[in-house]
Amino acid sequence: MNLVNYKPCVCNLCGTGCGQFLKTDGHKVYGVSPLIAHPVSKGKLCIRGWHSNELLSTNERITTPLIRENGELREASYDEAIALVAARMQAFDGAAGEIGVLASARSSNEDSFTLARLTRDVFKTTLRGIGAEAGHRKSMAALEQAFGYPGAHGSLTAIDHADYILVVGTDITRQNPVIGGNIHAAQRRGARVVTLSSSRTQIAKLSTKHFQEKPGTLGLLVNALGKALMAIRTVNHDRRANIDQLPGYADYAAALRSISSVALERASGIRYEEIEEEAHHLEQARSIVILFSSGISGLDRPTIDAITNLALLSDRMDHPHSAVIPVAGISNLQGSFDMGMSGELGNSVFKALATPDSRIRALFVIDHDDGIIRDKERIAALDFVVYACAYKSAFMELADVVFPLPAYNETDGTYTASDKRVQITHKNVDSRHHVLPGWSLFERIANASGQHWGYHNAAQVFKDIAAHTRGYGDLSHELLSKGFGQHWNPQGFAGCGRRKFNAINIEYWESPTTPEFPFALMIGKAQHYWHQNNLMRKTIVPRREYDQTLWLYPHGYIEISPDDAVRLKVRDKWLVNVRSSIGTHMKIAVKISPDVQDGTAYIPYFIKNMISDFLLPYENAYAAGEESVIPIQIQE
Amino acid sequence: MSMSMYILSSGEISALVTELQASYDVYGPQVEPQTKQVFFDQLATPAALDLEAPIPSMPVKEILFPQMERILKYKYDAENQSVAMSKQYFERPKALFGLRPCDLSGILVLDRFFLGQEFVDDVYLTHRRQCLLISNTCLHPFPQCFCVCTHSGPDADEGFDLDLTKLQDGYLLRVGSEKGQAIADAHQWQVATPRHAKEFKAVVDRSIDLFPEMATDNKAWVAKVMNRITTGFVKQETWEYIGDQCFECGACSFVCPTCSCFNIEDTQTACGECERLRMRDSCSFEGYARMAGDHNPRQPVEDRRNKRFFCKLSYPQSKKYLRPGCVGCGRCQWVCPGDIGLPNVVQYIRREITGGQN
Amino acid sequence: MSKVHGNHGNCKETGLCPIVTFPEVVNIDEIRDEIPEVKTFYLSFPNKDVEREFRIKSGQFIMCTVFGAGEFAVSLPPSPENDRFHISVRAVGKVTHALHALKPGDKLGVRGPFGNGFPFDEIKGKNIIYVAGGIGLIPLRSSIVHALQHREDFGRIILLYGARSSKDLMYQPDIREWQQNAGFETFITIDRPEEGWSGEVGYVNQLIEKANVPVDNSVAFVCGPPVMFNSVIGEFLKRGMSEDAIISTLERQMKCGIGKCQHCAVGRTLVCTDGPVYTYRQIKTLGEQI
Repeated sequence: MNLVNYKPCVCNLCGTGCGQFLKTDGHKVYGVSPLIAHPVSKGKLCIRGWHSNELLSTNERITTPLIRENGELREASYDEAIALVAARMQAFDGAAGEIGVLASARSSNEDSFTLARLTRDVFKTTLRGIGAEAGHRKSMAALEQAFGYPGAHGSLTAIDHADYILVVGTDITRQNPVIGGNIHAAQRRGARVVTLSSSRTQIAKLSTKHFQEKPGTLGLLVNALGKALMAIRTVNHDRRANIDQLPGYADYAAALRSISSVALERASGIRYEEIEEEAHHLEQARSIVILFSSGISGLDRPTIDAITNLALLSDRMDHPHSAVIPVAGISNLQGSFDMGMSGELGNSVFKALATPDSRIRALFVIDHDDGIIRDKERIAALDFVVYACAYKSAFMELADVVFPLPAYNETDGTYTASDKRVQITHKNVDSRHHVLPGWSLFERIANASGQHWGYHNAAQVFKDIAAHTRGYGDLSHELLSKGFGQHWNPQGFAGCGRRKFNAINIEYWESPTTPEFPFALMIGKAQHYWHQNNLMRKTIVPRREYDQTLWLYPHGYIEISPDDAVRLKVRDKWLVNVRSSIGTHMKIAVKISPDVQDGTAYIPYFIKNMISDFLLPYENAYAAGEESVIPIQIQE
Repeated sequence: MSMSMYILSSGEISALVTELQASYDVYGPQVEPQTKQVFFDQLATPAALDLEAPIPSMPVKEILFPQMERILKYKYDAENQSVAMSKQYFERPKALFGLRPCDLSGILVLDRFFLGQEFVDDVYLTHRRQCLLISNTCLHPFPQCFCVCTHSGPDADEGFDLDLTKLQDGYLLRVGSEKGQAIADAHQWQVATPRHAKEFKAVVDRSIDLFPEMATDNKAWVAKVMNRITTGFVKQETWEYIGDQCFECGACSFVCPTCSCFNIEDTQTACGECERLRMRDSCSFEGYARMAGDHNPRQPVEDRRNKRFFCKLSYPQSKKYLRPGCVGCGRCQWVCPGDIGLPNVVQYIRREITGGQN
Repeated sequence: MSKVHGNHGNCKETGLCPIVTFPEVVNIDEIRDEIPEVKTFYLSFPNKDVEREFRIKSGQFIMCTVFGAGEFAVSLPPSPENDRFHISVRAVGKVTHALHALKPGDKLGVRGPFGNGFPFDEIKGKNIIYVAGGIGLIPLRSSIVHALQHREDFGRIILLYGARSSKDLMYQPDIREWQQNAGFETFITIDRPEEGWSGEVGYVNQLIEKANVPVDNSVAFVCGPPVMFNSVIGEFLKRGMSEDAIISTLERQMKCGIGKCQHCAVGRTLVCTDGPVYTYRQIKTLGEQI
């Protein structure tokens, strides 16, 4: 017998995919409880998950379709709004690049799949993209090259059994705390946990070993580890035929051999002897898990290539407790990618919006974080913009038509976590305002445009997903409703099992800092709420925690080391002028932190002006994600 | 009042539940079918009650001190400069059927805290006023349990109206209050014999024997650790070691039967009304003690942790609760993504005292 | 201690009947600008029965609801009868900014009064030295008014007051009025020299020397930002003042006001029920930052 008040579901607030119960009477959500039997989260939740009830009971919801009239949004019926959207969109030539579609990495697979269908069959456009895809596409490309399919190798549950866990870059106890907790538990049971991170993050403190490299040299460090591992095997006359004969091995090996220990130390600040010692541990491990962050603050391609190569070189990737996982900050980044909403390289909706003379005239957008709207002026100047989201956001101001969407517990849907685990959440609350689920909304827009898909429920949509999406063939709502989800099957890809080394270049990264701009500014490290601000702003306790930092530093902050603060003659909370080498500048408070190296500075993502005014003009930095470095000067 | 004891069959237990449902909202332990997770929740039917289910995953305080509730609703009319207010919490008779002794102890602690100090908390009182408490002896410990160290199990010795223990012949029912006696008097239950009383004692002793050595062994250590925490002699390094493992999720406070901190926030509803929400809070959060302006008196995470453990294990706090603040349910150990559930903290401080030797 | 429950407490011991759970409505009769960011709101209860019962002690505080924004804690004048019922509030957060946007005639909600108040009975016959920095004068104001009303009960009454600049000095008309009282000594200083300022320049702790402050048979009420607080305390202790004779009121975030929510826990005490008034000896044992 089902319980009166507690309903199991999957937390939707990051790419971990933790199990949670919502306490609900079917109308409102009153509380949250962790789900003990869940194989990944095992009865743990982070501050976001524990406060899902606050988000799910916020009053800042979009409750009805809205149409802009005389500059103001007014309430409208579904019939009217859908007819208007269908009619207006038909007037644009999708095939000629006049329509763009911007999907959300928080949408369910059902919504993303039908949106992809709407994009392809109704709008007939190829200009599409997912809010945070830039970094993830690189992860997928590197993984597909290495393992033959675009997705994680292995499962997050491998962390619980692996001998060796390597965390590359990410501040994982903040960004995906439950994964961070599992890593911590692994360390305590005796696994060797090694973190490569230029700042002393919490996971660095909890690791067996922390390599604190100079910014920009993560990939070099990973490659150096590869070199040392190869050297041990050479000394031991240990040939691994299965590895040595993989495509790309010879070039990779040659590149590794070319690494000079002197240049390595000069660039990264890490001595090669330390790396050699680490390689011995790596060599002894029977199972190895490598984690890195993917998505908006993901790594650059050469670093991901270095990671997948090291994974293959380790020769441990066939062990059931080995894994290489691109950890996503958003619940269904992997799924949205699987459903085909990611843009084509060089032909994405982002490119179209950023190119002044592109032909784009209309935009269809799902759930976009207001802190990261790019090309806002261009969007505002488009002929027609449609926006759909569960929660109110600044993007509504740019839209001609707005549709409400259900919250994640108000409709059936599946979500694919960072390690390809597909999980289902069943509707457990009646949407107060009879809001159509995304797939149903898209189908009705298709209907009004003369196409009939015939979906009556999300399970039916999923049948089509299974039929048309590689890896998803074995799955169904019925199957996923038993137990705690299932990883999609890499065998669905023809290349599965074909392993290959990525081509790498050894570059001794020269810091772009100059005597005039002596600080290497890093971005991406933040408090808990990295990239979920549109949602977290609608909670109470997490919002307070988020604001906590801004209470202390109302103008935002730049973290610098205590010694640099002495050199600059500044004290904690003093305002400084930060000027970048390309001329952007901002005024921001100093936060003195012993976790930061001399000569480096950090600014968290969530500081609004940071992204819109300071970072976005710096095109390359944005593209490079977590590894981007901007030379700056800091003056009192 | 001398304690009456009866022997009830399973059928009589079910009948009692059915009968109570006529005048109470009856809550009890039940197993969620898909996940096998146990919740202490309202019973749809008497059949849903599972008195042999393991310790519920969430503490029973959820019923008396919910994670989030609306306590006040008001609407301000700016034009006429007037306000209309209404109370949003209401009294309902509740029977809590099959409380584990740790959760019962938790309720007693909350009673003493919310009702026993200078001020009475009206919201808690309203939820608590018409409660019937029926406890259930634990025949064996569940993983992480350590109630034997905190004097809160495996059997209940105070605070219940009725108490159940499964014996060979059926359930031994002990009466603990006049309210409980009134219920017993209305039935023709078989009076228990001295043999039953003896069996009860044997059952409890067996249960205590089943606790893992570490739990029983920790009994003396809990007292020693309380002493250390009270006197402030725990080393800064130990607090830092604990603080480094805190992920600031708040889980320990949410699952603790005795954590009582809350936050109050006014939020706007869609139609221009305002609701005053009262929600559980945790002293492990950075923003918890923040003051408007620019001042956080309790910033480093180890200070905040320190505060919580002081609340659970110190003499001044025990004086308020008339027992240790920790009831030994072990839930904080389940939910902590670090490794600083209370039993572990006892271990860490113990290790400090012994200089690394356990 | 007798218990207080229901919406109106009935505490026989103190004769105070705080409003515990639900705010009572008050009317904003008048709003005065004080210094930048600080306004004083004069309030009255439309319900006169409530007003009669609403007796307060100097040093106590209320929880004030700005409808639509939330609740905050604020210190009070000694009592509505002998000093119009008012609050002085600096706009620092969401709720206080919303308060500043209100007009006369708007309504607020009030719970309280809560807290222990200043220990006037224990300090009869002594000299009182008030030391305030910036808006630290707000919580001390009620005590000054009380002391001046009972002038004969005390020895010397001295106010040492400092602010960043002349326009950051609170309650200037009141200070001028108090100065009319016989034996009210004031020493006022600002941090940096200013055109048109002929008074003292420097920090408050330097005034202790100038005022030739008596330490024997004296109590000091100290309120201000942490830096000022610490330097003033240091100066007093150096001069041999007892830790028990230095009194301050602490501010903490508060949500309930009745000792339940625990937001204002300081060391082992709660500011709302054990405080907000503490001696320096007590503060020292709290083990937290001020």
